[in-house]
Amino acid sequence: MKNNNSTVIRRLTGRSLKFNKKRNFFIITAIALTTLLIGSVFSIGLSLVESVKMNQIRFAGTLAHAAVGHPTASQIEQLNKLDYVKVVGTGNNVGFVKNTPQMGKISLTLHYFDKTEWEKLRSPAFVDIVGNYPEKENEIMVSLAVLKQLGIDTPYIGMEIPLTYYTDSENKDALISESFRLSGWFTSYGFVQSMNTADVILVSQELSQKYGKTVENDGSAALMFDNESRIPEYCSALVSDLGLSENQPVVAVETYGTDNGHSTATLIALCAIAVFLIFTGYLLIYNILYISVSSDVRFYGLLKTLGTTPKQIKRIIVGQILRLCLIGIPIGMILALLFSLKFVPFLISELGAVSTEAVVSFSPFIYSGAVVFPLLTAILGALKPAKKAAGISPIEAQRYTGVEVKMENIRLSAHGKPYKMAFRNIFRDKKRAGVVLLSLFLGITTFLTITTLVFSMNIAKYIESTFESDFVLENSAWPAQKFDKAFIDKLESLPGFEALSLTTWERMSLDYSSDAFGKYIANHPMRDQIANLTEKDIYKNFNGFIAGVDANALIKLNKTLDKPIDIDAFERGEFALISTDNPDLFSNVHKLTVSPSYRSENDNTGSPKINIPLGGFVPFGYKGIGSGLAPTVFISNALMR
Amino acid sequence: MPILSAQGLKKYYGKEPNIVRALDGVDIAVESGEFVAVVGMSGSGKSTLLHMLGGLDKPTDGKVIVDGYELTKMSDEQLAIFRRRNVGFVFQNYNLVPILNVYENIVLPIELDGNTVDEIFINEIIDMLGLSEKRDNLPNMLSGGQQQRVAIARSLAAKPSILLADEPTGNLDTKTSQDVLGVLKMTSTKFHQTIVMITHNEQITQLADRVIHIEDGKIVREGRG
Repeated sequence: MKNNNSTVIRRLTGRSLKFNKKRNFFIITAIALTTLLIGSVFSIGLSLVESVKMNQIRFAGTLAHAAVGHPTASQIEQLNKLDYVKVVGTGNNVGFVKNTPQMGKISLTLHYFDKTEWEKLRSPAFVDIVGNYPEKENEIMVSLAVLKQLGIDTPYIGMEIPLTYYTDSENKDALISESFRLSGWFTSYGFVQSMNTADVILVSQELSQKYGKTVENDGSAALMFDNESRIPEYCSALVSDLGLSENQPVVAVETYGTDNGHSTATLIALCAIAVFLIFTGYLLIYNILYISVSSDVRFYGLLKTLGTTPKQIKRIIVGQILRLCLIGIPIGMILALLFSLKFVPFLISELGAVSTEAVVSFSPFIYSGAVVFPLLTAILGALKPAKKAAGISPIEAQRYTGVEVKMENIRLSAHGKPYKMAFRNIFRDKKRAGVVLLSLFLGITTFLTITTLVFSMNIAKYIESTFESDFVLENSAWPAQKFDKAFIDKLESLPGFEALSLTTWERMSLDYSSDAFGKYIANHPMRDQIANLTEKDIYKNFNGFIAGVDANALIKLNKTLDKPIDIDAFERGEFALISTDNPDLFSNVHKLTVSPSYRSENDNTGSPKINIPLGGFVPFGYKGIGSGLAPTVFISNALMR
Repeated sequence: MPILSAQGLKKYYGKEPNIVRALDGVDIAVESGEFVAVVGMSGSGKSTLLHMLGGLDKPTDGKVIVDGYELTKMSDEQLAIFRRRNVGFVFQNYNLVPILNVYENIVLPIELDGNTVDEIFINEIIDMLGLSEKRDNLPNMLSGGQQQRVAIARSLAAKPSILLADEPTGNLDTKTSQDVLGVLKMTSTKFHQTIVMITHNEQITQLADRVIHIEDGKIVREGRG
C-alpha cells in the first residue's frame, strides 16, 4: 500500500531527534569514535601494506619484474605484442664517467631510459622528483646521493655540471669533457644498498643517439608482467617466445629482503585489533541504543496504537539513525584522516616494517569500510526497539519495561541489605547486565591497549632497539691509524662510559668463481650496471670490504638471527661471515679466499691470500659497511690484526 | 448484522498455576450506531475487552469481527491501517504523542494514512472542543481535561465508524466530564458512530443504549441503560 505519508514520517523522525538530544549526543559520539577507530586501523594496515610494497619497489629501483638483455628491435616489437607483458621499457648505457679525486671510488655511468621506462617503471620507484627527464643533448638528471658525491649540496635546475667520460669500454682513454645542465633530481633508494659504489646519471635520447648507442648493443628491455606471482614462469616463456640467444639473458628483478616476516606479523596483529575494535564499536553503539530501547518501545507502541504500521516505524528509526550517522561518520572520518596524516607515517616507521619513507594509504577501502561498518551497526542496533515493538501487541509495547521479572527462590529477610538489593537490581535483566559488563571490559581493554601503545613509543627505547651505539667515531685520517691503544684507554675512562666495540675494515678482493658466486652476481643490487660485464671483468673486479668486529658485538645481533653464530669460534678466527639478507645466494660458497688490498699495496711481497671457511651471515649493511662488487666479509678483530 | 462482534473471546496472561484470565469466553455483538457502556470492577477485564475489539491486543482464543473483517486473522501491518481508518480510541491516560503539538496529534491518524487533512472539519472539532488557543502547544503544556479533549478530537478526526473509549472522563472533574460527554453524544449522532465506552460514571450509563456488566472476564449481566 503506497501512500503519501512521508511528511508525517519526516516530522516524527525530526521531532524524535529534537526531543532526545542527550541520547543523540552519545550516539553521535559513539558513531564518530567507531568510525575513527576503524578508519585508523584500516589506514595503518593498508598504509603498512603499501609502504612495504613501495619499500621493495624503491629498493629494487624499478617497478619492472624482469629485464631482457640486448633485445633486437623486432624482439621489442614482439614484446609489446605479448599478452602477458604489460609494460615494456627500454634503456641503454651511454658512457662511463671518469672519476675526479673528490668523487672517490664510485663508478658512475651515463644511462638513457626511454619514455615508458622512465614514466611507468623508474620514476614511481623514486621519491621527491624535481624537474624533468633530460630532453636536450646536454641535459642530465641525477640522484641527490650522486649530486652529493659530486660535491653539490644545493642543486638547482639549469646548474652547470662538468663531467668527463668515455663512451667506448674498449677504449677508456677516448675521454670527452663536457658541461651538462641539470634538468632535474630525485631521491633514489635503489642504489643506497650499494653504498655509493655505483650509480647512474640519466641522460637524454639525443646524447644516446649522438654516440650511436642502441638497446640492442648497450641496453636492455625492462618488463612488467600482468601477474606478479608468475614471474619465473613468464621469464622462461620469454626465451622461447622471443627466440632469445645466449647473450640475451632474462633476469628477474628480485625484491630485496625488506619483508622479513615482520610486516606480515604486524598485519595479522592489526587484523586482530581491527576485529576487536569492530566488536567494541558494535557494542558501544548497541549499548547506548539498548539502554534507550525500553522508552523507545513504549513510544513506538503508542504510535502503533494510533495506526502507525511497523514499516512506518522502521522508516522513522532508520531515518533518525541515518541523520545521526550523517553527523557522526564525517566527524569520525575527518579525525581518522587527520590521524592518518599525522601518525600513520610515524607508526609505520615505528613498527620497523620499512626503511624508506612510509606511504600513507588513501585507499577507498579504508573509508568505505569506516562508513559501512558503523552505519550497519547503528541501524542494526536501532532496529531492535522496532522489532520488539513490532513483535508484541501495541498495548504490551506501551507497558514494556524491558524486564521480565522472574523472582524465584528469593528469600527476603525483614532487614533487607541494600547491597543485596543493588546486586539483584543489576542482574535483574541478565542479558543487559552481560552486555554492559562486556562493553565495560572491552572499553577498558581498548583503553589499556592504546595507552600501552602510546607510552611504549618511548624514544629512548626506540633508539636502543634500533641503534647499536650512542656514538660512532670514524677515523678520517685513514690509512693512518689514530685509534691507538692510548686513545681507546682515554675513551674508556670518560665519565658515563659503558661499552665500546671496535670495527676495523679494509678493502679486499675475493677469489671469484662462477660456481660459487654466480647466483650472487645474478641478483646483485647493481645488476643493471654490471649486466655488461664479462666473467673475466667480474673476476678482475671482485672487490669489496673485509671488516673485523669484536665478538661480543655479535651477542646482541645473535638474538635476532635465525641461525645464531658460534661466538667463541668466531673470536678464535675459525670462520668468516658474509653480510647479506639472502643467505640462499651463497649456498655454493664454502670457503673464502680473501686478499686484503691495503697490505698488497704496501707490501712488495704480493698479496697474501687468506683462506677461511664461511661460517654464517649477518644482515646486509651491518655496521654500516656497504659492499662493492664482492660481498662484505666479517671476521673477528683478533684475526684482522 | 452487528458492526462489531466477538465470539468466545479469551485472553490469558502467565502460565499455570499463576494464570490470569483477563477474559474468559466473552460473546458480544454491537449494532451500528449503538452506544454501549461497559461497567465492572477494576481488574474485571473490561479494558482488555476494549483492546481486543480495537485490534490492539491479540486474544488467546476466539475471534473479533469488525465491519466484516476478522481482526484476529490480520497482520500487524493490516491492523494498523484498519485502526487508523475505522476506529477512534480515547484512552484513560490520553496517549498523546509527547513530541507532537495539539494540531499534529489530532491529524496524526489522517496523515499516517497519507490522506489530505480536511482543514474545515478539523477546525470545527478544535473549536467545538475549545482547543483553538492551544493548537500549537505540546501535550505536557496542557491540563488533564485539555489533553483528554485533544485525544477525543484525534479519535474523531478520521471520521471513524467506531469509537472505543476507556473511561474518557475518569480523570476529569464533573463540569469537564459533562462537556466531554456532550461532545461525544453530539458527534456520534452527527457522524452516525458506534460507541463502546468503559465507565464508572452513573450518568453515562444512563445515557447509553445498553449496559454490559463484566466480572472476572465474563459478561454477567446485560441490560438497557
